[in-house]
Amino acid sequence: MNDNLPEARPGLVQRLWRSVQRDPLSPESDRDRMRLVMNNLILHLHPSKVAARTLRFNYTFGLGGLLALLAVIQVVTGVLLMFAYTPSPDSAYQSMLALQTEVPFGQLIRNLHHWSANLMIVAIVLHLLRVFFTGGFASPRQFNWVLGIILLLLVVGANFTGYLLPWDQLAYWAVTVGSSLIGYIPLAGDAITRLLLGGPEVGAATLTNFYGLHVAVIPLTLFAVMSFHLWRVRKDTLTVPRRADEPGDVPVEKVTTIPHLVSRELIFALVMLALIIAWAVVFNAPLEEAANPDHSPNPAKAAWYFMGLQELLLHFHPTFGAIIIPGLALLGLAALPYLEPDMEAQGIWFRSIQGRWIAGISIVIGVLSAALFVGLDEVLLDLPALLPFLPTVISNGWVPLAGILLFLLAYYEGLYRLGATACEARLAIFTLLLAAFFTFTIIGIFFRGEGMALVMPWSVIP
Amino acid sequence: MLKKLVIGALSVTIVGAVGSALVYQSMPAIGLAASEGQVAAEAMPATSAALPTATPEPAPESDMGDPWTMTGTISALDDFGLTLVGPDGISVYVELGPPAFWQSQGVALTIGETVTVNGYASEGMYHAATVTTIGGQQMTVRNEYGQPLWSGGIENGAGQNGATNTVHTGTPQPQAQVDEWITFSGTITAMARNMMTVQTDTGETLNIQMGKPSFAASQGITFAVGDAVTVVGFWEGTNFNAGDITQMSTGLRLMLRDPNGRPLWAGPGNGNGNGAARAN
Repeated sequence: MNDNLPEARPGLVQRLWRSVQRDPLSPESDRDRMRLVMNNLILHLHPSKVAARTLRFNYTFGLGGLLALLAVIQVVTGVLLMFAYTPSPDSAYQSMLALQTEVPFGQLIRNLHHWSANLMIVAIVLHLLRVFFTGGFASPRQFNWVLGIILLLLVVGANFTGYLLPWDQLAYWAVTVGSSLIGYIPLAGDAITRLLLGGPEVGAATLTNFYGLHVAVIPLTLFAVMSFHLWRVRKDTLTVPRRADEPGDVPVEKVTTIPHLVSRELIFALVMLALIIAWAVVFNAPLEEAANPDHSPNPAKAAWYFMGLQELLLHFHPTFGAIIIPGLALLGLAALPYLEPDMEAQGIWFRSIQGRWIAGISIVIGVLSAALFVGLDEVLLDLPALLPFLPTVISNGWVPLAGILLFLLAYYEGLYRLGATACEARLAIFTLLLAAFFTFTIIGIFFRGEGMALVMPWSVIP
Repeated sequence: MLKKLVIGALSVTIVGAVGSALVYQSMPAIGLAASEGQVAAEAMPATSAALPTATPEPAPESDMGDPWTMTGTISALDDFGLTLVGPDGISVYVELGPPAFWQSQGVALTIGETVTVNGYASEGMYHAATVTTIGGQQMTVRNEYGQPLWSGGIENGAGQNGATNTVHTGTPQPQAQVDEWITFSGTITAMARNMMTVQTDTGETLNIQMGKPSFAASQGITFAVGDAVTVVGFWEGTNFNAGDITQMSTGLRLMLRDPNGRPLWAGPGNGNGNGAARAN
């Protein structure tokens, strides 16, 4: 009899909840799970089903998700910091001191903001490497690769503008050194530097400019591009990992995003959040004495992620070290997916078994050749002195660059003739240059002491 | 085809550079000077004995050091020089000479300003010849041979701390004969009015001559026993004369002599003796 009764009308609370969340949060069938993904603002960034293999942690290492988590931490801690920070040379440093001593949890919030920002640079570079080494940028994902590079630049920009805000010696001189690189852009360098700094030198106007860029312009752009990037990930589909000897057209098992992907993401986010908080509790963000424009530290180093560039500047004419070489590197990076017509190794780490060997050898050659280059240039090879009749832009710019390009061409051709495919040879060049750049960065951070002289690391770290 | 063109262009660059460097390095000294565009030097006979009496010989380059150029931001400024921070983070102190001379040229240097300095580097000391501001103003404190203009320069042989009204008949003699600039670090063990005693890091004890006490005092750097210092100087007989002394704890540097060993307290010269012709 009861079966013939009309269904009871839901109560007000239930109706309110349904107006917000239409689908049940504990779906019981695959159909309900897929609908929940599609109808949810956050979850609909995922496809409703994913290839089971893409869930392997050792394929993606969760780097994309980690970056999203870090972006959220940046926003939350950044907004909190804004309540305690005044962007003026007279007050900025005092704000930092107040954060450390007066504001409840101020130090922890600043630590979280600082370390997660640094981790963001590490994670975005690792994410880029993961995508490159698994061929994840191949068609139809070329443009998303370019978006990823734009995001990398925005993250670096956010870090750089934030670096100045504590207004301590480290911040002031790192930004002075970093911004002076821009001055080497031909024709427009000085104008851009003045625009960015709000004058000829780092000062009150610079702090205002950097603050505006850091809290509004860059984050808004970053979230807009990030949304576009995530949307493209969804539309371009995910690469599926496979073994080197496995054909690309094998049918793959698919599973629903809920619970398989979402639960992994949630656990990973919680673990990472716990680790970041633990790190922030133990390690304080650096704060030196208040900025003193009259007295530079020796050496005045740029932020750590620019140390590779600063090291380049010690060996090349600034036009090449600061503009041409980084410009070519960025251009090459953006053009990579468009140069891979033979790209059939999507989802295979390092393209093939042979590719893994080639990558390993290239790392060794990259590290050794960079260290050798630094040593030679420091001790033996004084090109401007050997070629004093040439402008230094030629003798210390074009000549060494030509030597390096010849070396890279010879390496590429050599590998090709030894049986490497074109995409393996390109992977080798990329890996070699990457290893060399990391070596420059390590040398710059740990092996440069007073007057940027080469010293042992224990002489650099006080 | 494009690849061959690129490889060709790169190879020509490397072969050309290596070849030119080898040829250049094997050229005799007079040829080197000519190729550097030192027209005046080209016209000079090879030995000073054959020089016309009115043409002084430029100071040997080894006294001045190697030609050096740097563009950077002025991070500090004092009466005798400026601290320049390059885009690569290197910070150097550049000596400008006596304040009366360079300040009289009407080029206002300011902290934070970007300038290009041409000059000479020797034993960790940097000496300006010209300083060019971003606005194009140029201050010249040494001539093309590195000779200080405040000493009258080599063209007229004047200055040199009071070489007045004499007929200049040859190379002006610097007040001090610098054979070799020496740099060492150590700790001050005693202080006197115009001298300090330093125990070097290698265990030797040296008396450092600091010259005119009022000049050293005017730079406002207070040294004390126990201070760690780095001294650049030269032997003159049994005396060790300091060119500059850096107090390691503060980074402050006391400037005492120019690269020729000439005392900075000697002033602009111009034949008026002992710096009496100061502009201010």
